[in-house]
Amino acid sequence: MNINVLTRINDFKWKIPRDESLGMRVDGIIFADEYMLKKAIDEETLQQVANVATLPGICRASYAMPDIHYGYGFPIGGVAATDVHEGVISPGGVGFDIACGVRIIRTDMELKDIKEKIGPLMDEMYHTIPKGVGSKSKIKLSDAEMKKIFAKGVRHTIQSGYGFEEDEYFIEENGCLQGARFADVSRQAIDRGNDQLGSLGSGNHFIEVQKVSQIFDERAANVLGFFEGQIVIMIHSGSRGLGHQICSDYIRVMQSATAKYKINIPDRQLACAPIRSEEGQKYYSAMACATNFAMANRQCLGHWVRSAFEKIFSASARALGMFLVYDVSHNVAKYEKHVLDGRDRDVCVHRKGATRSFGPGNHAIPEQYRKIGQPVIIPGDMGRYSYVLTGTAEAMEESFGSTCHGAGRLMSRTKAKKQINGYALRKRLFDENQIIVMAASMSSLAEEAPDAYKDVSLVVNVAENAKISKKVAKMIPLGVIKG
Amino acid sequence: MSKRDGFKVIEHLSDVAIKAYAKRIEGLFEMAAMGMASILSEPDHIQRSIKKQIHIKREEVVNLSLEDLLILWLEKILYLHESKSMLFSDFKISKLDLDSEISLVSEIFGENIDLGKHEIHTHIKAPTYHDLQIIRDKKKDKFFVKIIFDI
Repeated sequence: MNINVLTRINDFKWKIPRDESLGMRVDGIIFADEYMLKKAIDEETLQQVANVATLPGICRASYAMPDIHYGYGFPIGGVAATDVHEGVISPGGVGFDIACGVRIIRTDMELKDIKEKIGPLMDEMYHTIPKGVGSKSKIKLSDAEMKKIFAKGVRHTIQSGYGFEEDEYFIEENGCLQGARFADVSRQAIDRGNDQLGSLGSGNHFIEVQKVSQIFDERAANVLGFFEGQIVIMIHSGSRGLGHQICSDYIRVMQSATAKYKINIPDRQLACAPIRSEEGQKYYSAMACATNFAMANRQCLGHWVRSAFEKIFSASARALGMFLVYDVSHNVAKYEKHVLDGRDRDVCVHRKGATRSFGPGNHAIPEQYRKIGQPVIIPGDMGRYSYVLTGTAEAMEESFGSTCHGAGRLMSRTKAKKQINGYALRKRLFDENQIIVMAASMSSLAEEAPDAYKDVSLVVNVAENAKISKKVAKMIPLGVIKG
Repeated sequence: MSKRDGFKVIEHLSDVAIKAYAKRIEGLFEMAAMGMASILSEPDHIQRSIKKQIHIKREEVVNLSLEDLLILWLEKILYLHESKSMLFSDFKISKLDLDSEISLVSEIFGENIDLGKHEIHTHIKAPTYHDLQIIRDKKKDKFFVKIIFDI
């Protein structure tokens, strides 16, 4: 699709007008500035936005967030809300790493409090937290325990001793997406996941000790407990092999369903089924199982991070002020109520590489945060910075309460590995930025080099200018653990 | 496997893809699996000490297409790799027939992962259907396929 089809709505919002000859049921809407359009968006990516617009029951528009890039079926950064009664659900609109997401834990400490001990602290975390390709957890789950995690999510993990009682209130969906049934998950998926709860995985997943380097919104920062110079911890991981297998299983189920329900799709990776069909319901249930597993996974990782701090600083995690600020996923589909043409509609919002960004007053937001909007966590690359934003009232109108999720790649993994040496990169990050980097694999580290990513501040600025989220704080990395 | 069969790994912005080619369809499947093995690790460093069998019934194959059969077979290999902590380096298909009740019969060879000996390059989430098409070039007397893996 030629980039000239785009029409400008404003400096940060562009439209692919609905083209019936392509089967588009709605427009495509892309949040980007001119730089992003030139740098990150190509003809194939635009085609993917248009392809999503063909899904039956899609409401208002097929959206692309400011960090949009080429994916499978859906673009990464794609958002689609489908009518629960007439629309479809598509595993391609969630992706393989179901409920991959980010959490941020605050502390009462500043750089001066940890400076002398950051080396041993990173060592402790590195050696106690399973990470890297094929990493196995310290926990091996029986089917009975897996069943409890699917049904109860984070609450089961907390009841087993991982974390604070109140953690679940600061997790999207209170740490448990409803509608998860064990019977809808295959044996293979359970086998791939039952020794992976509490493991970081590989690729772009990480644990970072960070320092709050800038506050943009004092009021919101106060509510969230952030202050300049503060030490915080960010964790990025997902549903591991369990989610990957569930996605594979249901893409197959949807290949037959698409034919059975006579749905025309322009790309096989968009395979889907009516939400109300047996296939649609089973996928939602299995995806909810993976979502609950992913949130429980980050809960375990967060627990071990707290334990490492407790050991190194000889104080309890509570005494160190290590409270969970928020945990939010960026690959998920969920039933939500949104106002469309002046009336409440039940829709299934697919967010693939996009973060929920609910505005102030929404009851899905923890009561303590309700007046400022939902916290949105945007990880950047390991050499520069990450952000915390809040959702806005405009996002509810503009993007079904959604915003960006990260920086997005600039360089392929193969090219990054050819151009960048992992050992040299680690040394450079320490010599130039005093960042301690620990990685299970040096070649994987090269793939994750800062140069391989866009500058996340460009993405976040577009999201703020488009009014789909608002900047609260910027964090810079001090210590990084990569899978 | 014929001497003219092979594969190459190609660049893709977020992920990684392979192009496989072979004289026979069985060879094409075997080359695709070798391509996947080379994304995961170095096949040359993997002993053939353990044998696993993978059989696929026709009822498991959606739309009864070769593409679906290929993806399903690769997924089953990936499942054994991840759930049994094994790496594989040799793939033999003894039967491939979509009209038959058992559509695919294969033996795959490898060994348990030993991190002291094997370097694992990356994790593969799944092979994808993205732009997936098995092409038969009659002039060159070869089959071709490109597969993108989500990693």
